[in-house]
Amino acid sequence: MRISKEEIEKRLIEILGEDNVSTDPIDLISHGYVSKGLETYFKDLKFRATYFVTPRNKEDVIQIVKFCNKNKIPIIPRGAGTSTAGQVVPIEENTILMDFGKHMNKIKEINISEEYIIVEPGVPFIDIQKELSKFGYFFQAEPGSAFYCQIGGMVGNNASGATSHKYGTTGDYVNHLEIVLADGTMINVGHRNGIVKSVAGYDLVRLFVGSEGTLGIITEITLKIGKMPKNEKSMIISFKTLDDCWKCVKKIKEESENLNLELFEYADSMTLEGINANFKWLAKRGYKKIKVKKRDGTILLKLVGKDIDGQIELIKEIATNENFYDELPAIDIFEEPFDQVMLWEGRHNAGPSIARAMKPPQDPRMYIPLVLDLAVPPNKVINFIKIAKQLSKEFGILPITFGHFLDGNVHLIAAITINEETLKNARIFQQKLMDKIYNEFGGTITAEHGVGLWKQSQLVREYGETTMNIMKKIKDLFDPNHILNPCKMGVDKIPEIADLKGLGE
Amino acid sequence: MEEAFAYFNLCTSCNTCYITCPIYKVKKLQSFAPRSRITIAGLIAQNRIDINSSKRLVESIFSCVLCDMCHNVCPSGVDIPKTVKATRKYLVNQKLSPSGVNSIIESIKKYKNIFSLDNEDRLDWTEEVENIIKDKINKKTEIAFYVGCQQSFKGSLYMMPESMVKILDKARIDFTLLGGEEWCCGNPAFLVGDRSDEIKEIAKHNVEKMENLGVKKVIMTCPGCYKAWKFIYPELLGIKKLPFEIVHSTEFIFDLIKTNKIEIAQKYENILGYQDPCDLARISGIFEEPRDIIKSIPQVKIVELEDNRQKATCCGGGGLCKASYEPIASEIASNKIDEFVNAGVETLLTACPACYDNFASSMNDRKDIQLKDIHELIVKLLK
Repeated sequence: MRISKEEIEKRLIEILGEDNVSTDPIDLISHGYVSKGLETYFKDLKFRATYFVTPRNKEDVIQIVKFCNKNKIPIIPRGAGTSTAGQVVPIEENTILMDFGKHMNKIKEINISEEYIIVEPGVPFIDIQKELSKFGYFFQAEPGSAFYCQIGGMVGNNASGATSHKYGTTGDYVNHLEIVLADGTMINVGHRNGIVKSVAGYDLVRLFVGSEGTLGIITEITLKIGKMPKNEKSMIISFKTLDDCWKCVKKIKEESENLNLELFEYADSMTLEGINANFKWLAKRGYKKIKVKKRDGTILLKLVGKDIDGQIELIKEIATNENFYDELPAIDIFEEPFDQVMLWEGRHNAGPSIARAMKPPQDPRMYIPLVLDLAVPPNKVINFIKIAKQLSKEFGILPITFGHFLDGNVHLIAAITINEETLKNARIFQQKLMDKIYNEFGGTITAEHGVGLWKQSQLVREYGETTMNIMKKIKDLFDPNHILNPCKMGVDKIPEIADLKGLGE
Repeated sequence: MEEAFAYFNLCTSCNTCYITCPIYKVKKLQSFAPRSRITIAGLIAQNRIDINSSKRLVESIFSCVLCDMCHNVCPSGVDIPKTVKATRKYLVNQKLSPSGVNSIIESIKKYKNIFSLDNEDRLDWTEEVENIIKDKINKKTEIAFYVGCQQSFKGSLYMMPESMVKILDKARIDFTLLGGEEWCCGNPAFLVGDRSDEIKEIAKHNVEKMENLGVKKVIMTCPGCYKAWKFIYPELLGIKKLPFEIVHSTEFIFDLIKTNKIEIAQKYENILGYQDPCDLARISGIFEEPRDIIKSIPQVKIVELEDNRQKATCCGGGGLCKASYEPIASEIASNKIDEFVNAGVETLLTACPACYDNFASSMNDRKDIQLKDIHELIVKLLK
């Protein structure tokens, strides 16, 4: 017999106490958030969980999971809800949203001599960086949401960002995970210390990293940490054209053994307009005024380590060689720590900043539905950007592009005036773009943001049926009742109600 | 639908805001994140939620301290505080606002002060300074001191206006007080989006009183009053600018120091820390004058928190949070006091009655730090 809603609530309260269980609609909506872009696409859906819980410790998690597994009740473990592909969106009836921010938010150990840190999943990433900075250390993999995401979500999504070409992704730094499986068994994968290498058995750590909460619930994480680079200077090189910009990028890459590039970013003029709009606001609020030039072939970079002035000179030399370019670029150097923080915070916030530049609330003409995070082999980035821009024009879409030169990851925002026709148009455009990604570039649909609810149906195009079947078998092995974050990652049924045909028709 | 609700469409739901929200920091629930407050406004505007079905909805909207931090950091330019105020207005009209808030607004309309007290008692604080103020009430002169409700009626805050008039006296500045003719500035009403005719009348009364006395400059010690007069009154009354200048006491006092009208002669041994009031600092842009005053103290030692000026966090006393959710306000204050102590501060200085009041109620006989109002300290150190 199916268990009633009242019985579920009663049992949850027995386990967690009244303060840690809620059925208040605002708690459910606030923690089962669907990003604004997705909401636009799937506007007729009713995303709503039934329960919201805040476990106090791993014993609580075990008890809830055992109860849920027995009664086939879905659970979504979540971080700060900053994901953009609908990773924590509840689909099924009776879904429990499990949040770690309230109680399981402690840094348990910092070990500098062995270079690791042990944390609970609900710790904000920025708190980890603040604590580590006291020792001259930091956690190297940093997503664009670094200032506000939580570490559990970072591990669950294998988060990465602008520095990944140098430092890799979150998964590269996970030494150990404590995980509660779907039947309530607690397992430990990896090594709960500073061990650097191990090939003992299957790499289960990497299996759980990036599994978006579909295989188990993470209750503790051991992360490798590194020394913070001592010096840093940032530069903006603004070319008028993308072609000149790419020539410069290639030359800089040729000199890579003489350079220590922590960030090497691309931004088009519309992205820079967004960044400027944000700087303008901050200046109005009493911050130092910063302005970047609005040009289509812009390189933003940060150099770190030894002989930083020598590195700057080398880049200047490359960028100002008259024989290479149709027109020489403007070069700005940022040396003050404050200016550099402003610049890179501005870049991290580029996506949402564009909304400020484009659409005042009184005049809601422009809307940015979704940020794509496609990736192609790095040497083909330029071709991809050009093709994407050309295709956008054909569909009457304003393309906004920015991304990471060295790992081939390009973000594309298709900005449109929202109505039913333009939305349909945008879907076809994105499908055509995906055709090109797969057929012409051998690329990937998601380099950073994850699969979530949104991109599931594309996975089969990327990997084929056979591979997807293996993924489904893995899911069945760990979570036979499919109670953990159901309807995500392409390993579950894709509910009809969601009409989730990915990006296309 | 209110224009403020349109901000819902601008929010890209990135959640940059939650980590800076003082309420989130103590409640640790996304339901109290600014993003959720915007979502609530959107759900109401689109008629997608039964407002009677959620206790948390009211709690989230009315616990907001309106510190404007989320507005500062929002990359998309969403004016979250404006939306919160519009949502409060809607909830007040639906009779869902907390009683603590309702009684303040009703009191302003009926008694012209926030405490439901007889407005004629507005000069109770003057007992200690009777000599100075005896001929100053409703006097025709160029400078006025507008005291504000909290300092006029709350005994624990009397030292603020007392010190202010002592400073004016020391500098031989002639001034006027409105006494019982001073009406509440209306700020608490603005915090619930109430710009009704009754509130307009109150603003009009205050402005006319000043005009009739020939006032050229009005000094305020309360940042909430300052913000209301300086930024909201002109808009509310449909005029380009007020017929007199509005200055905060810290601006005025620093000017007195600069022009040698007063001199801070005595040293102060304790290490000082300064709390930026949200209404004065982030919202009105006055960061340096209070610090300049402090730096005028001979051999002074001042410590800044890591988050200062634009980034300074709220004490918890703003936005009417305390009127309904006192434990939240106290916890924020208590954490903030710890932050000052950990930074090595021995005396915490405030320039706002709400900050002082909220910190005071969280001091709990602490021995590791003292709380002082900036005016009170300056008076003691004057030559």
